[in-house]
Amino acid sequence: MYYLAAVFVTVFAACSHWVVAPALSQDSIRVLGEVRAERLNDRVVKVSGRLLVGLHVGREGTGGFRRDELRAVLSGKGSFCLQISSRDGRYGGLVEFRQSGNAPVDAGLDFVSQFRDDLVRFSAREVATRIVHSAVCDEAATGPILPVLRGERIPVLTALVNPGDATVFARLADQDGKLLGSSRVRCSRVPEGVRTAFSHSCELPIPQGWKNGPAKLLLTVDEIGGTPRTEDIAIWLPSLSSGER
Amino acid sequence: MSELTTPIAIASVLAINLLLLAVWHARWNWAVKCQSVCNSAIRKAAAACAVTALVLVAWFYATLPDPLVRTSLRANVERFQFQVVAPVNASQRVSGMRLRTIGEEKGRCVDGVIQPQAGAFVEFVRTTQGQTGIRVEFRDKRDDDGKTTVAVLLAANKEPERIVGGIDLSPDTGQCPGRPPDRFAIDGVAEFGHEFRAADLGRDPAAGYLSEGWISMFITGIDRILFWPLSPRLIQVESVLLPAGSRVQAAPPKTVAKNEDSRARWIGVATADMQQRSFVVDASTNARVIEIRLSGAERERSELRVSDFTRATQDGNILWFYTSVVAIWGAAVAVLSDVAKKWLTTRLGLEPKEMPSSTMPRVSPSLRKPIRSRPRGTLKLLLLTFALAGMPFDSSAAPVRLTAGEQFGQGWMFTDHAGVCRIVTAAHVVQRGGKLVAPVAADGSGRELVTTNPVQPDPNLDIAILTARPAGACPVEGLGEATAAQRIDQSPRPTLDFLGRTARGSVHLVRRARSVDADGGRTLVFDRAEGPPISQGMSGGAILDGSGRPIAIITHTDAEENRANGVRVDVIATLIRTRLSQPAETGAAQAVVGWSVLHGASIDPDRSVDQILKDDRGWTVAPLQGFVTIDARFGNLRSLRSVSLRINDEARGRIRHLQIFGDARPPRPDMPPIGSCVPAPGAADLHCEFAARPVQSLRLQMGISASPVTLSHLRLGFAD
Repeated sequence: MYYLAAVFVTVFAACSHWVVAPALSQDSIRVLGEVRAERLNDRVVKVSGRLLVGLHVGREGTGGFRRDELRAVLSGKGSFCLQISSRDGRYGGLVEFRQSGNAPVDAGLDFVSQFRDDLVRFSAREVATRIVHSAVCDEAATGPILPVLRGERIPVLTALVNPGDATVFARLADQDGKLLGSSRVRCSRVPEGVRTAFSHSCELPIPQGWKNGPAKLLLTVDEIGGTPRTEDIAIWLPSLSSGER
Repeated sequence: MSELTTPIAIASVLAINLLLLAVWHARWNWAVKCQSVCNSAIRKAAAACAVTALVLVAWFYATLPDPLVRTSLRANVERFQFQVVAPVNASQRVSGMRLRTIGEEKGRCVDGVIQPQAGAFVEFVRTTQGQTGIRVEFRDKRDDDGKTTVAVLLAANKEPERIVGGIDLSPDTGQCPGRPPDRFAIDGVAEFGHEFRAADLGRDPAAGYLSEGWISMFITGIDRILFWPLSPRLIQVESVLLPAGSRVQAAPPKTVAKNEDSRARWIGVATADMQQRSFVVDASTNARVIEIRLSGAERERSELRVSDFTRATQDGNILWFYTSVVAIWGAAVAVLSDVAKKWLTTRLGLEPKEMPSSTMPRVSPSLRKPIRSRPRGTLKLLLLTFALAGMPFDSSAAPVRLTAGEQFGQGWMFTDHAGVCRIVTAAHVVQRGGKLVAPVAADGSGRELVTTNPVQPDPNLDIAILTARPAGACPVEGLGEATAAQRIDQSPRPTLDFLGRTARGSVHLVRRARSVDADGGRTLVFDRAEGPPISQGMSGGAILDGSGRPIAIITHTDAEENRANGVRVDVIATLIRTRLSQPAETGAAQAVVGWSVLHGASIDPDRSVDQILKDDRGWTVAPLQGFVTIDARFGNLRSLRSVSLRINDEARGRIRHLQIFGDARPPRPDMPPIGSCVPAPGAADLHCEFAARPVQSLRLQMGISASPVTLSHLRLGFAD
């Protein structure tokens, strides 16, 4: 009797999950990536040193980082490299995904982590993720950067950057350099704690009517006692609807 | 209330009481045929003792005021920042720098005072060129709306300029006149060593790295027990070496008690270190909890705080209280025992008897004596002596340590013939840049004294005389000049008493010569015989005879020869009598014990508001919103009838009015006006007279339409 009840509850729970969870579109898939260079240290260790450390769409809550809730619109054929790093630099990992077709695919990203229990203990806001469309998957991988779809589904692109104590402004432009949105956004400093991997968070609203496609993220870094300089970073900006899928 | 100390204290007092009673009880049992009635009485007495002791200790702890805590930090940091709390105190004089709004490329030269607004972050960075960059900005999106003023620029002969959106200041001596500052004010909520990245980490290799430092925590001991005033001691309770990479901040709100200010400020100064491309930070805070994260354990938080146990064991006044309570209580028990015995003997007829021989200790019959023949007052006498020995008498801690900047020396504190508290030292100890300065003095128990009016009475003699306050801290003894010659003769092997950085020390000397001809026979020469080597920091120290009285003050030390020269105290006493016949301070300078600036910003960081009545250079201030307001506090109630002030030439005609407020109470926001005046056109002095009012606090509010102005020659007219 108990056995039957347990089976019933399990089946019911699975069905509920299927109904309540954000339904993937018909062409959405769940891809399993291969983890490389995954590490978790007690001490702060070397991080990439890149300016743009994380790029995601949505707004993270205050809960723990959920590896199994990462999604992305993989646009293009070939290899995609998911780069993950915690703000304090203790956790880092590279996950490689492969995509066979050219059409954009809304994919649930999955990978087997040897530190899955530890990862949950990191606050979601403490973990930066970004995807690089690159043939090689390492810290120095270059190519268009894709945001990871995470957290609350709102049309906000969050860039986690690492300019140290400089002041940073961010802006979106289309592929031709035409500015999107009305004004540049001043990035806010992440408050307390060790800020090795990233120190600022920039929240950029995705313009209404934006269609899934390539864009530019313009980051202006103004260091104390220096002059401002701007970096153009090629990104793939998903449409609002893709974030809701 | 204490978490740990109270139980320990209670247990200690109880244990001692019970021990005393046990002894007494035993003697009583041995001495008298104790019946149930006396046993019961003794038990009740014991219980009463214990309860009373417990109540006393509990009451003492319940009424113990929180100590004043001061934590000082001295460290090298690569960059630092603070969030402004009091804009006036965070003002920074800048020149030779280029100012630009953050995010924009071009800027303009600036020469004036930057006054960051409350809530703004001020950050100082050593750039890769070895220069200092300054940034002022809001970091909260609510404030960073492009409309809120982040700082006010006060420039000469210009209206204050409000700046929004954040400012960046970088040195540009090529195009901008003036010299960029190398001293920077710290006043706000700060964190030092707020980042620690190794050279190859992150985009910014090192941000705010704290390379090395010391942090020390002091408390002020209690100044009153019940109704008994005591001299509070400044006690160093903690001193920690901060390894490279540490982070220090006043504890965040969650670890701060409810009644404490969670936004504890650090106040101090930072100086640019050219070689290290860093800042030497000297700052202090009154936060009760300091959070430290050591390098290598960044995620672990350590706290520096004053526990009640530390306080109870290090505050001499609390220790004295314990000792006295225990001892006086013990003495009272002994007295009561006599009364009880007498009462039992006379009223109940219980005559003292010898115990049965079977229960008597095995002693020789010849040694057996009636107990009553023992001296009854011995115990009481011992306990009272014990109590008195612990009393916090103000010791004649005549040696003092004088610190002026990086240098320190010794001094000897005494009361001169006119009753003025003086400190005598070597003139070179208090000399800076050819001028005599008033150093910070600390006596042997760590108590800090205010020194003023340094005077070198004889230019040919390396001796300086200072006036010290509070006068109550001064020993009543003078220099003992009347017997100095005799004591010098009788002291061929005197002692040099000195206060080192951490402890008191002494050197045994042997006298080599009675005079040095070049000094007209006024100097004695001594060689070290035993003890630490003679060193520079001993200058100004007193050489003492066998009874601890001074015979000479050291003016010259020779470390190589281990030799010291000292000027005879009778020579010094004569100089004081003939050349310093008047008390050092009179009038306003003596009356005013505290200043504070409510409106306006000091232009010269080296000169504070109290210079307004000290010399001709006065105090230069930039008005804020057209006003300069300062508060002065008197040591006691004074009958004030006039105020006068001198205005510098440039500002004549630009001071609109002077309004004077006064109150017989400490300063408060709504003090009543007691007088006002308007300067005559072109007049150099502003003089206000009014009906005499008893005041303890005074507020001067000046309407000034120019910036900046120099105010000097403040004179206060008293009717009393």
